[in-house]
Amino acid sequence: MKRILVLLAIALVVFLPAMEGVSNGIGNVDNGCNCHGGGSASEQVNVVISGIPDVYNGSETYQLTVTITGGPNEGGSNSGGFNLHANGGTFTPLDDHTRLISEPNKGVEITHTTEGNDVREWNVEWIAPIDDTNEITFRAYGNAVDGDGVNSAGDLWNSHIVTVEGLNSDGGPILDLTNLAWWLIIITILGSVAAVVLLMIRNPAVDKKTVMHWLTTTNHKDIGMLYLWTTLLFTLIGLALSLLIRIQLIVPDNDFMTGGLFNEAVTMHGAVMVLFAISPMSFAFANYIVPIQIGAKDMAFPRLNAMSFWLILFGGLVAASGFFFGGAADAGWTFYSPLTSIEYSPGAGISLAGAGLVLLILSVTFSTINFLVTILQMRTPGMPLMKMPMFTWNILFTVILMLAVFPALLSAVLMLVGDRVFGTLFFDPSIDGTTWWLHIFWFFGHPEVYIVLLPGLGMAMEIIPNMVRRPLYGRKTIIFSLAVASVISVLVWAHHMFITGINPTFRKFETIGTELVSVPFGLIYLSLLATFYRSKPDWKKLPLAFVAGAIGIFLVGGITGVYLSSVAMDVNLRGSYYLVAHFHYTLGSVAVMTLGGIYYWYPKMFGRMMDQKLGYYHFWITFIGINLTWIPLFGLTDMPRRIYFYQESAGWELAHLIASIGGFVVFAGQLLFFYNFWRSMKHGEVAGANPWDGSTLEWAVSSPPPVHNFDDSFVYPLTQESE
Amino acid sequence: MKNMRAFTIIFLSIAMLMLTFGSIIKWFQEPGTGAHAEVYDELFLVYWGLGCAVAVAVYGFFLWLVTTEVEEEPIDAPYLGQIPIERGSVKLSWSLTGIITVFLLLLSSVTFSSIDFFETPELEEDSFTVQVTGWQYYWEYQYPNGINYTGAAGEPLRIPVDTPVVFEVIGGDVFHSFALPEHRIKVDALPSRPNIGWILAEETGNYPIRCYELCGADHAAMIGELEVMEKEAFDQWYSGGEGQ
Repeated sequence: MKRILVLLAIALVVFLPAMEGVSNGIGNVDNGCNCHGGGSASEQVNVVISGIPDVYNGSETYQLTVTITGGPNEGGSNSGGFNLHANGGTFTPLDDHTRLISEPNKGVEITHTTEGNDVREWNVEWIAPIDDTNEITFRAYGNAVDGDGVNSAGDLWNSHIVTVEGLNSDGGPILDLTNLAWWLIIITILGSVAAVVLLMIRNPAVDKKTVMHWLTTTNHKDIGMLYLWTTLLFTLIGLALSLLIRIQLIVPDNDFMTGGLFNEAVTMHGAVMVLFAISPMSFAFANYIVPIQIGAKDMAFPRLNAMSFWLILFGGLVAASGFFFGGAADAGWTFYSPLTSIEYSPGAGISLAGAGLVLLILSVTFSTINFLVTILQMRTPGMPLMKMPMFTWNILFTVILMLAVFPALLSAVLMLVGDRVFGTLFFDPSIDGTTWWLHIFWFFGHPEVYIVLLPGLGMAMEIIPNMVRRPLYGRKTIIFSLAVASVISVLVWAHHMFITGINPTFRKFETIGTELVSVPFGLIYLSLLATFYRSKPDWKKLPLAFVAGAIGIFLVGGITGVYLSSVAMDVNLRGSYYLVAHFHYTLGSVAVMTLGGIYYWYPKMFGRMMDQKLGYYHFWITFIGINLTWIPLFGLTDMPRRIYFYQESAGWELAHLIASIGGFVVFAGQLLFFYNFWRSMKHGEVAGANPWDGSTLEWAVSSPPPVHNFDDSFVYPLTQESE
Repeated sequence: MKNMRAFTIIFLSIAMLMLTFGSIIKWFQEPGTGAHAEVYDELFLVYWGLGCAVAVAVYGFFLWLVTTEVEEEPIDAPYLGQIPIERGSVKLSWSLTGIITVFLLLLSSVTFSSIDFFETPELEEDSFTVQVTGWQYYWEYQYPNGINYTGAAGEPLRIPVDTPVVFEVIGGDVFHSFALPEHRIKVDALPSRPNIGWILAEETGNYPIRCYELCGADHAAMIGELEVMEKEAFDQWYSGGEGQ
């Protein structure tokens, strides 16, 4: 092994000069200095290039010095020669000791003149290339000549190779361990993995089953559990990234992170939270609960279901892996062109995110088909479509929306990757590719918001009637409202591009359409509230507290969203922190609803209740934390989003200080939640089959349910007496 | 039960306070100036007032529901394995639909008159067009008489006071967004085609120009300056090149 390495090293030293166009023979003067003495480099000679910066700035001029020490005949006439090559920038001779090599490396290769033969130190000027995103490699070859002027016998040579980064180079050090932010990223990722593994191991179901079982399972409940672990992991990563952002903005002019790393954190926080955390977490419950709710024994295509899970897991890991391959995607989760082109984002991050997204879209497409067939074809006899449980209804609309819009994202991502990898020109600015990307991305991106929202609403529609002991108000109204909202949602994408110069008439249509979205959601919202009419709410039950808190938060998100739907208001609010606060209120309320869902179905999945006292602490900390984080940021209508520092003169520091404290409060609350989750698996109160007096079918089976959910004697509906 | 009522009251009060606070805090931020700001701030006031009214009404409704309208023994409490029961009135749904729709359409009409004002420059004799190009991470300005410079070294974009000036904005490399927050003006700078915005500055002074679309690692540093000058001073600079 050692011998092979030595041989390789020798081969490298011998062939590299040849590859770089440096001639090896004596006499070919025009091609510059030759390596005298033949054979391999000599350790007696020391060649050094000095004056090279650690990181170069585009177009800046640097003075470099090549020095030779050691070897025969130190000093004196005919004592040395050199040859310096760089794969970028241009050299200029400073005096008559050096000259440029004419062809083919004119400008990038420099050597000594006859006069320069008598010294062992040469000064040259190097002007860095304009583009400072690449690495530049300098190769200096130096001869220590014995001065006989006859031939090269007795002369010795050596070389010095230096690589220098550009200021905006993406191919930089993989991890910058001198930066505190990097340590935090590493610690949180390892910590998240450890936390989730701890939870998994503690799961009473795991002890009985081998690792092989979890790798090969096709049971919908096991896959739901796998979804839950995975999305908890991604949620922790997303939360940790949000904390990095909050630390960076806590004081003006903070230098905790660089602009590039901040952009990576912002981008990956958005992409992970929207695409890999909140939405799939509701699909953990969709997998676990929906088949039981409709009285089925499993999903329609169990193996396809397993494939969906493994695709989403690897999709998320591939997308996030960019952090360790020279930088994650950093163009914002909306990936606006042309910043995503290979020209402006040469790193691997965006291509990796694209690959991760393709895996995600495959997963989503398989899930969609699976859920459609399951919900439409596998309901137990006696359950017509209109009598399905509301969570199942919401999942049905969610998967229909997914089927409608994820192909748009797939085509967008494939075209983007084509542009980046194969040199196609789909999003070239010369054919208005920027607007093209906006249209195709938001055609997906707007309904995606409803794809995230609907399962959360479905949980609220299950929890509220159950815990106020009255049926859901306006069930049919809600179902038709959901249908109308789904249709409108695919027609209003252009409200994300109000001031990009689209057709003014189209824009007015989009304004009206967007405001009309408020009609079905207003009805749904009021129906949820009206369910409380003449009811008996039991506030001691945790899921109700979470859902009530979530609909309180959702109202703020909804009303501030009406401001944004106005094209004239959007002129000023677009791209500001007001917008960021708005969508964190809507998505934050979905997250809180999902937490309610976890508290609601935890007893079904693990057979034990979560601790109520800890749960209330968790609720209050989360509720106050979310408001503390985002209310101040509504005020920053003039602060651009995604900026990594702000001046003290801007007057934004108080709002950001409060928001950062709020961010830490939210994170602390979630740690409490994880502790409760972990603790209750062993120490929680034993739940029994129906701890909440639920009416839907998941409460008719044991906790956790048997492998095939129902035995053959099961008939729907159950009569009240058979309880 | 009383305990839990207290819980609800606290929770809803916090929510209401927070919404109100969040909307009001906007007025502690930098005040607007210029013709656009008058129109915009009026519009914001309309939305803000209606938003607060709706929020207070909805939270109030919720509070009323959970505190006063409590039934000790609901007659139709859900039981296991039942077929879901319909509850509520279809007429109420339709009338609510009508009310919300009309309300929103009225809001839209207010919006449309404002956006028409924002996007139809009211030109005067001495109006002119400045071509603004966004680069990573500075702005370039091109005046009709050939003056052309960038803001990279901190040189401001100069315009005269009380004169409508049109900006023709384009992205030189990537997608930027040219904005004057105090004047309530924002124009997306796409690299593929120019967009139009205009300004009628009413007060002299210096104002920041910000980029509102993520444009790369130093997006945060892409801050330019707008200098609104007295007409004479501007004319002197504009004709002689060296006014300032």
